[in-house]
Amino acid sequence: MSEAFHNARAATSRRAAWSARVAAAAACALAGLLAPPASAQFCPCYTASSPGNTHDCGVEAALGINPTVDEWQDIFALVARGPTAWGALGPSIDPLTEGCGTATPRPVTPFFPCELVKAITRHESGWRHFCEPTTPSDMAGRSSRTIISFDCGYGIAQVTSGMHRGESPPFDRSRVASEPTYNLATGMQIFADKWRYRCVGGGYPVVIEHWYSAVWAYNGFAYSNNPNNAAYSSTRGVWDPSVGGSAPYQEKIFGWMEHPPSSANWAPVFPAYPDPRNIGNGSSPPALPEPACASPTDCSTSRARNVSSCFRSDGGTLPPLDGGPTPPADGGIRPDGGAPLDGGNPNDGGPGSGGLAAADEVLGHPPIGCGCNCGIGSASLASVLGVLCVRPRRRSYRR
Amino acid sequence: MPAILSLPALLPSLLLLALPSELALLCTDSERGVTELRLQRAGDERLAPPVATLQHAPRSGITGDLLPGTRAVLVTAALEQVRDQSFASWLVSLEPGRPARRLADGLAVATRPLVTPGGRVFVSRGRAGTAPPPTGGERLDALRVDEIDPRTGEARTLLEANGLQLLLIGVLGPELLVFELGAGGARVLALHPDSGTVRSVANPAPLLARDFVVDERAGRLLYTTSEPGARGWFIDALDLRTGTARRLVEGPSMALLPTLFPDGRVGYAPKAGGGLREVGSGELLLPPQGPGFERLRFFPGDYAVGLHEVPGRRPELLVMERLRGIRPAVERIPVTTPQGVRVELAGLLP
Repeated sequence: MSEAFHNARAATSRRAAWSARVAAAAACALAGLLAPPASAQFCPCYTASSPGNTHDCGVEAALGINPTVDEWQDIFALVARGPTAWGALGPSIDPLTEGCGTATPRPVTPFFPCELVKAITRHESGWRHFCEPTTPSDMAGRSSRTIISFDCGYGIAQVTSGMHRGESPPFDRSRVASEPTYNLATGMQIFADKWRYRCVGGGYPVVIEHWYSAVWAYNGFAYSNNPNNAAYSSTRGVWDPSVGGSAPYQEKIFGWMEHPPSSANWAPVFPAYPDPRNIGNGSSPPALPEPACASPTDCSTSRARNVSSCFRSDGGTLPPLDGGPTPPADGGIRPDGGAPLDGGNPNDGGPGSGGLAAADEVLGHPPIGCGCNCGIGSASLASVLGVLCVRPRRRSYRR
Repeated sequence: MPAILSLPALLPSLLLLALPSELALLCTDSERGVTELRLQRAGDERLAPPVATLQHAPRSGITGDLLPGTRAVLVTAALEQVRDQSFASWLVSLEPGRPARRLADGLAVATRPLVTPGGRVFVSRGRAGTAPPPTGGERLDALRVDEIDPRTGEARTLLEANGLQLLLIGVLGPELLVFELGAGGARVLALHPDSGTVRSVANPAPLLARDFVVDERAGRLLYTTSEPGARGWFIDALDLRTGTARRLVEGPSMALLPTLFPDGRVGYAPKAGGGLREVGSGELLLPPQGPGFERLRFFPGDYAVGLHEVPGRRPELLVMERLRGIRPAVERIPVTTPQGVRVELAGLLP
């Protein structure tokens, strides 16, 4: 059977499961109000009809119970693969541009590094789409329903754009409130839109670091997210959620990737950071060269960039490439470690010019390390590519 | 160059006689979003109980400064979880035995109040501007510098601008120094809070300037900076009279931390775990206190108080007595703090 059929069947099963959960939550609601426990987790629900809704949140909260961690992992895996995987479970998305930093950018079917998807949602909502409200006062103590923040961020992905009264976004707002998968997919629609406007390095969606500016934009192009903001400590280093402290949004997301809540959530990723001197001092970054710094505040040591582990061939999770050759089977899509690329296509291992390698040569940075995906298939291939694998900064984890 | 010795700890009972008074500490459980004010005496093994508590957004950045002549600490914290943190912080007063008192909202992210020795309080505040189109342009925010009455929370606006940042960087005599960053570049302004007079001290100023230190005795402003394409970071000294800058030293990262010692010498951090060395001579002014960086403030009696900051980790409190003698040395005084929390030093109580 085709992958699409499997996906459709799985999607139908998930919808049935969610319907059952919603019904169960409704039954609990009919049982009457319950006082929240003394140690209730912070849970805002500024639903449209609440007197506490001072920011014009436009959609009512929906009843529901959160997926389990395992169920969330399935949702993340699905959503990371983009609209060709989620189908009717999410909105449509225009193609991404791959290779903005090369001579031959091209459109590709959207897909997203699952590491970023998990880290962003962890930060935005703690992997909660529903919760038992603790605020505002008229909602406190009610049964589990959509988490809606003070400024109208809905659900797991805290979808805010388009959720205010009077707005007409290109997605189904009621489904954003009621369906975790649809909410997350809508978040990715917004995330994809942020990808379009700032180029980082070669601009390959499989490279986690190439989403740096898109992550910044996901929170908003504001000076509060510029790493050169002098209000931020120059010794802050990589942000650790258990330590806290002030940092730009994208550093918090990158920090979450490096410091997962537990191994059940995700394996640590050690992302490289752009040199702050290349970012300038505006509310948004310019096009950036390849990130290579080991820390947002210290470029005296370097790190390899990371290809998302979601797109290995071993799990059958490689997204289709529009017009490109099939990537090698030994480790999936990966940067070539500094060798020239074939017209900007990093996947066929052939000689050429442009792309990731060109940026490395211009800046004099060490070639892209192979990171955890340094599974070069053969010595001969490695010699052709001229790969210099720096010492991997993380072990190879398998989901 | 004299060798620097680190002596073994003296008897705690002897130290207590000479120690500064209590340290005002802000102890933050980042995950829970709770900060406690503790008044802890250095060298005392007993952990002081919390005397005031503030509930805020989880993982909010927390800064604080002691209001001179009082036991009140002015804290900045985000109280709500909102997506745009630009102006989500509040100025809150924490006093022993009293509930937290909100004074002013809309504080610029990660900033701290500028509290003068006379107890006047100034803050950088603002309101988010309109987002530019995604293809380009700046989001310019409505910014202002306000004086806040710490008793009532009443605000008086001293300076307004439409731009990226108005950062309070120090005091120069009766004036406040402000780093202004706008669409057209950066400059340093001197603002007189009583007359309202604003004068330009440096125009343009370096875009990447940070970690400002006012050396009033020498009439200069020290800061760390760099430029796109530069290999290192630098400490520059800006002559406050002429507006001209002079490069003092170069280092590998932005954490050079210019530090003005009581005798007028300027120290800097050559690297993580490198202590503080004198700009120019390279003499070791402070031995390294660990693998990170030392960020110090100096008090009468040759006491230095501050934080040892290891990037990515919780900072560690430093209380040191700088001993005079043939060979300069520092005596590290232990400070008991709660486990598993982030500690911010708000000041020394009188």
